Amino acid sequence: MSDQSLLSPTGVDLVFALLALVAVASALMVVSTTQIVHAALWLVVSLGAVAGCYLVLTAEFVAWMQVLIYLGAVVVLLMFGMMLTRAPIGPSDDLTGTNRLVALFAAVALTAVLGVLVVDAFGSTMIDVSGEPSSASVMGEALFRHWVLPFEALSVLLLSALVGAIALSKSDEEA
Amino acid sequence: MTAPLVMVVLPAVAAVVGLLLGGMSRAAAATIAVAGPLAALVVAALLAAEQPWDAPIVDAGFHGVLQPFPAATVVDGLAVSVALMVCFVATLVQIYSIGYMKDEPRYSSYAAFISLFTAAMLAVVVAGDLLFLVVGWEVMGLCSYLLIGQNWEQHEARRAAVKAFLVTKVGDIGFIVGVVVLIGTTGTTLIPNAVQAASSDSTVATVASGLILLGVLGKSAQFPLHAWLPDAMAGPSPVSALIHAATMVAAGVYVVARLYPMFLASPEVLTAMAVIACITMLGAAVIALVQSDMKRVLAWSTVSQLAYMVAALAVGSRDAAVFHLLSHAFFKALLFLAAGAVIHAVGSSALRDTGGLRQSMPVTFMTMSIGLLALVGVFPLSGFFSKESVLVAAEHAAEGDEVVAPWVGWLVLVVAVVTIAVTAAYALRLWMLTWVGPRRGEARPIHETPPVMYVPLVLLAVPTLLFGFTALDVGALPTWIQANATQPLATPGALTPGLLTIALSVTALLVGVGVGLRGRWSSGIGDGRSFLARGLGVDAAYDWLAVRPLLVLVRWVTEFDSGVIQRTVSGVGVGTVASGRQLQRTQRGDVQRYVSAALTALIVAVVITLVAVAT
Amino acid sequence: MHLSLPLLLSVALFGIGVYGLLVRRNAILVLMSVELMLNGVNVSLVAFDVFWAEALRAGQSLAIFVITIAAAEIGLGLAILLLLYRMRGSIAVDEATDLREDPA
Repeated sequence: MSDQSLLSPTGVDLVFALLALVAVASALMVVSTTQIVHAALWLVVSLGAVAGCYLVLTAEFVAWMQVLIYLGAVVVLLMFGMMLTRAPIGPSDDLTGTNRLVALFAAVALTAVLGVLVVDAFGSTMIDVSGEPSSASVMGEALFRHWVLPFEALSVLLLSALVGAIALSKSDEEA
Repeated sequence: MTAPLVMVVLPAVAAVVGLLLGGMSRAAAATIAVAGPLAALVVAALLAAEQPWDAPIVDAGFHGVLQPFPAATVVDGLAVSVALMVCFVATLVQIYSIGYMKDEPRYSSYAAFISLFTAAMLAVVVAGDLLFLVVGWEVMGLCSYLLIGQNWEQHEARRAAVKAFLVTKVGDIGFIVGVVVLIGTTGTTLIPNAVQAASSDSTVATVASGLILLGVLGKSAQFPLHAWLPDAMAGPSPVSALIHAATMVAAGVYVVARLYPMFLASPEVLTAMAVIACITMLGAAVIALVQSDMKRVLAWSTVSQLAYMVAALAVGSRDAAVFHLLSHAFFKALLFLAAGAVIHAVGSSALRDTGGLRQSMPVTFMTMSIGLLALVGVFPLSGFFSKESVLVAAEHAAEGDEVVAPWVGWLVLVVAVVTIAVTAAYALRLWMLTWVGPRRGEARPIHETPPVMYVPLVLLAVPTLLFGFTALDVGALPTWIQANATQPLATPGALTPGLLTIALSVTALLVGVGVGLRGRWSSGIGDGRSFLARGLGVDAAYDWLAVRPLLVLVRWVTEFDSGVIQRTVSGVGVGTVASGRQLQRTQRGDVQRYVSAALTALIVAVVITLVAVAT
Repeated sequence: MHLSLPLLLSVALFGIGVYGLLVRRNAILVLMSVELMLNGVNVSLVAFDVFWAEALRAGQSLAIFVITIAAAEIGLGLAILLLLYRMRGSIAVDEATDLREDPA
C-alpha cells in the first residue's frame, strides 16, 4: 500500500469514517440527551457502530464480544439499574449538572491535545486491513497460549466482582 | 578487672544498688552504704601492702557495648596514698551519716550518692587515661550538685547546688578544652605518655596546663571560682566533710599533682597559680575571721588551706602539696564532722547559738580541739608538718632552686606565714565561741552525740595527731608518694621542717593567738552581711560582670523571641488557618468538580511538558 | 487505511466520555460515560494491534480483557448505586456530598 495523505481516502477509509461518525454522533447524544432511557438506546447505537469499526479493522472476535457483552449484557444491566432506581421516563431537565463550562473546557482541551498528538505522531501511518480477520480460533489460540495467566486472574476478578455485587445489593432486611 | 578498677567499681556498685533498692529498710541501706567505701578501703590497703608494684600503668581498657572503655589505671604511691585517704574518710563519713541522717527520709539515695561520689573520686585518683579522668571529674560535679541540694525543700540549698554546679562548670569548660588540647597535640590519651610529650614542648605545656588550671580553680575553689564552696554549706555536714576533705576539692589539687611534669614545664602557669593561691589563701582566711556561721568559718578555712596546696604546687613541690592534701583531709573531715555533731546537738550552725558546750559534749570538744590545733599548725599535729613542708618548699623557691622566679617563692612564703597568723586567730575565735563562755541561743539540754557519730571523730583524730610524723623520718613519705612514679620529681627529704620556717611559723602563730585572745568576739558575731563576710564582694563582682550582662542579653533574646520568632511562628499558624478557610470553600463534596480540577491540571501539565519537549 | 482514523475515533469517544463523566448528574449516565471512555481505549488497542500485526495479538487480547473488566465494573457500580439509592433515595452525583467540609 502506498503512502497516502489523510485527505485521499480509500473505500475502507470511507466505510470506517462513516461508522465512526455514527459512533461519535450517537455518543454525543448519550451525553447530551434529556431522556435517560434514550441515553441508553443511543449508547447501543454508539457501541454497535464501534463494533462495526472493529469489523473493518479485521478484529472479528472483539467485534462479536463487543456486541455480546456490551450490547447484550451491559446495556441491559444499565436498563435494570434505571428501573430499580426509578429513573424518570420522559424528558427531565436536571440530568446535566452545573459545571457544564468547566467540563466542556476539560473535555475539549483533552480531545484537542490527544488529537493533535495522534495526528502529529501517526498522521501518515498506514495499516493493512486486507489480511485474514482474527477469528475466534486465532484469538482463542492467542488467549490460551500466551495470555493464560492474565485470563485466569481475570476470571478470579470477575468472580470476586460477582460476589461483591451480590453482597452489596443484598438488602438489609435479608441480612 | 584489675585491682584499681575494682576499687572504683565497688562503691559505684553500692551506689547503684542503693539507688535501685530505694525502698529497702534503713539498716540494709546503711549496710550497703558503708560496705561500698569499706570494701574499696580494703582493696586500697591490699594495693598499698603490695608495694613495690611491678607495672605503673595498667592498661585494662575493657570492651564496652560500643567501644573500648578507656579504663587504663595508674598505680603509684601518689594514687594509692590518696586513694587510701579517700576510702578512709568516705567510710567514716558513711558511718557518721547513719547517726547524723537518722531522721532523713531520703537517706537511701543520699548514701548512694555519697558512694557514687567516692567512686568518682577514686576514678580520678587511679585514672591512667585522660578520658577516664574526665568521666570521674564530671560525675563528681554531678554528685556535688545532688548532695549539696540534698535538702532541696530549702531555697538556699537549691541555690547553692546550682551555684556549685555552674561555678565549677565554668572551670570545667577550660578543663575539658585543656584535655582536648593535650590529647590533640600529643596524640595519646594515656596520662604518663601525654604528660611526657607535653612537658617537652613549653607552648603545649603552657596552653594545656593553663586551661586545665581553670578546671582546678573551679573544683578546688580557688579565686575567682571559689564562691561556690562557702555556699555549699547548705548541704548536710557529712557532705561538707566529704567535699572539703576527700573528694571534690582534693580532686583539683590531685589532678595538678598527677599532671605535674607538664605544669613544671610552664613557669608562667606556675606563677599564675602562686599569685592566685596567695590571693585565695590570705583573703579566705580574713573572711573566715568574720563569719557568723560555724560551717562557713570552716568552709573559708578550706579555701584558704587549699590555697596552701596550690601554692606548694606552684613553688615546685608536689610532695608538699600532697602531704598537706592528706593531712588537711584528715583534720578538715574531723572538723566538719565535729561541727555536724554540734549542729546535731544544738540545732543550729550559727555561732550566736553556741558557746559553753565543753562540758556537755566532751568527745566532740576534744576531737574538734585537736582538729583546730592541726588546722592552725601546732606541733606535733599533722597540720604543723604539712604546713611546714609548704613553707620549706616556698623557701627553696625563694632561694632560686625551683623553676619559678625567686620572687614567687618570697611571695608565697610571706603570705603563707601571715596566713598562719590569721588562721590561728579565726580558729581560736571559732573555738572560743563554740566551747567556752556563756551558752547563747535557746536553752535546751545538750547531749553528746551517739557512738555511731563520735567514733568516726575519734578515728579521724588518730591520723590528725600522728600523720605528721611520717615526715620526720627523712624521706619516708616522699619515697612513698613517689613510689613507682613514672617521672621522679623532687629529692626526698624536702618535707622535713627547716629551722627558719619553724621560727617564722611559730612567731606568726603566737601573733595570731595573741590577736585571737584579745578579740572581743562574742560581742560582735555579726549577721554575716558585711563586705568581708560576703566574701570580699566576689559574688557582687560575679553579679556585675556576668549575671547582669547576661540578664540584659536574656532580655534582648526574649524580646527577639517574642517579637520576631513568636510572631513568625504564630503568623505561619494564622496564615495557614486563613488560607485553609479559603481552600475549604472548594471542598464541597462534589466529585465531579474534583475530577474536573484534577483533569484540567493534568492537561495543563501535559501541555507544558509537550511544549517543553517540542522546543 | 490510515492509522489515524481509528485513533481519532478513539480520542473522540474518550473526550465525549470525559464530558459526560464531568457533567451528568444521574449516576447511571455517569456509568454510561465511563463505558464510552473504555470503548475509546479499546478502539485504539485494536487499531494498534492491527498496525503491529504480531502473533501475540496483545492489543485484541487486552481489548477483550477490558471488555470483561467493564462488565465487572458495571455490575459492581450498579450494586453500589442501588445501595446509594436505598440509603438516600436519590442517585444524583452532586447530592452525595458527605465528604464536604462544612465551614467552621
